[in-house]
Amino acid sequence: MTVRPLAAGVAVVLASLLAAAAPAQAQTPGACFEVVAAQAGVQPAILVDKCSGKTWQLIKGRRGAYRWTALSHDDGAPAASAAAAPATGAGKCFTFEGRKFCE
Amino acid sequence: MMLRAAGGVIATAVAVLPCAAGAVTLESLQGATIEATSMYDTHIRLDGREFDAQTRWSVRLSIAAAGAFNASFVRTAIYQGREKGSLNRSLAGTIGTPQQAGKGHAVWLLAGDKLILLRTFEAGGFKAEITLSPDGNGCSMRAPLAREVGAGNTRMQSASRPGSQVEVLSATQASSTCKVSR
Repeated sequence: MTVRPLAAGVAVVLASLLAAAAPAQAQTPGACFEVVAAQAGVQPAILVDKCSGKTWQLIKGRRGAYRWTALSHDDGAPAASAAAAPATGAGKCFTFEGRKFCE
Repeated sequence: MMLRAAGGVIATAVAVLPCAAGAVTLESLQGATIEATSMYDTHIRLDGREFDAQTRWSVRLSIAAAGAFNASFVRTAIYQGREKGSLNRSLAGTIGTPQQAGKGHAVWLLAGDKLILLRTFEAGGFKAEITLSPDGNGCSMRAPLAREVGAGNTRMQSASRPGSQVEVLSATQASSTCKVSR
C-alpha cells in the first residue's frame, strides 16, 4: 500500500539528483557535488556544486515527494526565498545571504 | 515491478546521502559549552595606512535544548605584541537559523562531526569549523577568513579604532585552541 508513494517520492529525488548533476558532469565528472546531511528540525539536506557555487536544498512536497530546490538562479543571483539559506560543506567556498565566499 | 524499481532507487539515494551515524546532533550538544580561540597573522589597512598585526578571535558558545544557544565573541587587535582594543558581541539564537550580526549575518550549522559558524561582514566573511571528537568531549577549530566573490578585500569594523573600518589584505590562522565542558 505504501510502496507506490514511497517509490514515486524516491524516484523524484533520484531524478532530481541526476538532473542536478548532469550540467556539472560536463565540467568535472563526479568531483563537484557534496551533500550536507539534514538535521531534523534544523536544516534540510543541502546539495552543493563546488564547481559552480550553485546550491539546492531537499524539500518535501505536498504529496510527500522530495525535490532538490535551487537556492540560486542560474545567473548566480539569489532567489527571493533563499536569501537566508546558507550552504556549506567541506569545500573552500560557501554561500550565505545570497553572497559567495571562498577561502 | 514498481517495488523492484523502488529498491534500486532507494539504494542509489542512500549511497548519495551520507549516513548520519556518528554525526553531531542537537541532542549530543545539549548542555555543552564550547570555548575556542583563534590567532591570526594579518596584514591590514586602517585609516589609509597598512600594518602587520595580529588578531585574536574568541568564542564561548553555550547550547541548550533544541539547538538554542548563547554565544559571546571577542575580537582583539594586537600590534607589536600589545593589545590595542577589542570588540565584544553576544548573540542568542537557534542553530540553523540565520540572524543579523552587526552589519553582517551569522548562522551556526551542523554538518557531520562539525559545528560550523558562517559569518559575514561588510565585505568578506568567515567560516569557523569546530570539529567535535567522537565522545563529544573534545574539539578543534579551523577558522579561515573567506574573501567575498566580487567584493574585493574583507572589510569589518576595527577593534582598535571604534568607528573605523579595517580592511584585511591577508590573514593566516596561526594557532587555535578549543575545549568542551558540560
